[in-house]
Amino acid sequence: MCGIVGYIGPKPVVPVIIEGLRRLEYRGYDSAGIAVAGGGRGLELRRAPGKLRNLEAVLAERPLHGSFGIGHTRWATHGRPTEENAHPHRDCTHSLVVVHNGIVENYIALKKELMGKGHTFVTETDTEIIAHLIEQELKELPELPLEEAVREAVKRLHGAFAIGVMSANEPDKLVAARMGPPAVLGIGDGEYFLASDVPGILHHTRNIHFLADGELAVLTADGVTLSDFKGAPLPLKVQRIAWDPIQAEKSGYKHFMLKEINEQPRAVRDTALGRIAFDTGQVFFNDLSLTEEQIRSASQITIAACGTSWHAGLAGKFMIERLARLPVDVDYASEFRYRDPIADPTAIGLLITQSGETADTLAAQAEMIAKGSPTLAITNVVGSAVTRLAAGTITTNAGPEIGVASTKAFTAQLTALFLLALHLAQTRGTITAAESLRLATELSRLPAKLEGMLSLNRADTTGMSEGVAAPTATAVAAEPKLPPEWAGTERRYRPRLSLDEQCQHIARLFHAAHDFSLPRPGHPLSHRA
Amino acid sequence: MKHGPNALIDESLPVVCIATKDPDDPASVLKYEKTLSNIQEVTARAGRVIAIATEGDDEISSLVEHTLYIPRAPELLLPILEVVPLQLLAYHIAVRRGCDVDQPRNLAKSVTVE
Repeated sequence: MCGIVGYIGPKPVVPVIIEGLRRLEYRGYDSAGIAVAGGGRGLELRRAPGKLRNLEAVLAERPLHGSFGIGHTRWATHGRPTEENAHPHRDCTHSLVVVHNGIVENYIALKKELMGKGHTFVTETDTEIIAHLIEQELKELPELPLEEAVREAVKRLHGAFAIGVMSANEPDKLVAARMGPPAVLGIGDGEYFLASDVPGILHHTRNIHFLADGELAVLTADGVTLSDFKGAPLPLKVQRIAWDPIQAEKSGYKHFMLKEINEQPRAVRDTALGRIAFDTGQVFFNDLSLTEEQIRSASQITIAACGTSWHAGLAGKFMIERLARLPVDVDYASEFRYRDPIADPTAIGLLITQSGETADTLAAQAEMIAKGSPTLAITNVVGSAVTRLAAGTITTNAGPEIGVASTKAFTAQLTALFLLALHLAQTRGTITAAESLRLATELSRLPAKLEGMLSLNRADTTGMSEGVAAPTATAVAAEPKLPPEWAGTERRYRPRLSLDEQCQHIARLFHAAHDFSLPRPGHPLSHRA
Repeated sequence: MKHGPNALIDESLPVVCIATKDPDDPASVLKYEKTLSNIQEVTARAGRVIAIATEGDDEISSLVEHTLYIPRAPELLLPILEVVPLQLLAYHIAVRRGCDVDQPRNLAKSVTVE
């Protein structure tokens, strides 16, 4: 979940990109960066940790000018949210830059290979290897156009990516490619745009091509050409987007909650991505930092969390106990430290907090550490407070969640807990190789199952990208069109109605039949204080 | 249910039951059968049951008012699928009741104070 904006055209580049990034800031805001070229000074870069306004402050001090550029707001997955790890990332020659949304699964193997060929890496990110891969292609075949070098490079990548690439050596050209995360192209009047999502460019053009998986686009001052990863040309399918900017931020959904419910296939997929060897079912984490001996000799796991995360913990208890045969306690973090809990170095503390900043959960972590327990954190925010004291962190990669009632962050937490349970079981030898493989395979099938459950009337949406499909969801959500007589005949209708439509229908029952008694004026609350 | 909630049941109370199963897992099937007994207790008292059930379970739909089906999966992975119809139900009930779905009153996204 990062935000990308690229621009080629007559307007001043920097304001177009910064304004676009501002409208995409909901996608991530750990750090931001921009690269601009065509101003006669080669390729210039500005980056800053934290929110976009920090980047703007840097630009105010050291302005940039040029005719084309790309920018990025980051939601950290690999590497902490520092200036060094902020995109764009460069190759060794500093003449080409890459912005990336997604996760390169095989980046460690590629990094080793490239280091063997003399490349020097300066960041902890998976993205940097893409820049060096492209540089390597150009080193071997200097006459290769940038897009062909990108085409060769993306063939080497496993995982998920939407990338934007530019080079000081090929003026007024942007190359984009997608496999997984969303990307859109904007077709303006003598100007062309690349973005992660429609809101980033909607104020400049409503003519949008939704980049599909396996598509590679070349944007120049003269237009956009599209092809697949093998080089076969593809036609542009430009659609006119009628959303207002607020709708666009919600991808056309009526509420963030509904949008985020529909983002769960990706949240689950991205959380599992790169952590399972699919031939063996072996689970591995980059940042777990517990020794095998610590896992084998553990006496118990104590989960402390609040709210939705606490509920995820309850499910996690079942997963860990059944697979790893290790007793699990689940505590409400706000109560944990007040009962002089039993904890020692053989008890592993597990904190679950989507923000990584939940005060009570941090206090529970401090209590665990004071009693000598190593702690693990499951969080959606890389570099958050809980990760700083934890011996290990499992990030959930759900992307920013705006709706206060948690949906996709919760299913991502369940996914992380399942992976942890499997990992503990494998290390402790409490699971057979066959069962490991079976469960890992079943986990990898969940995103498709979730997609199936969430899919709307397929006839309306086949072949359309996720963003375009969304207005249908809004229309359905706003105006249920189910026949009143449907109640008695659900079996006849069921196969043709989506889960969403069925839930809308049932929601009527709750609305009409029962008045829920949540706190309101005059409603007494009982509380054990 | 017998420890209290049964007292609430009448024809105006919708009851959501998670009645899924992994047919390959005997422990899961046993739990499913117990859940079916609970459902019978509710319907015997005129309660209106909405069941979350596993695809292929045609039997359950004859016992309850509505059935929402989810795909088959191993028991330990079922929560990731089961929660989706519950989220959609919560969402649509909230919309119908005119609630602020994205920002429920009195709540914050991250509770960074004690």
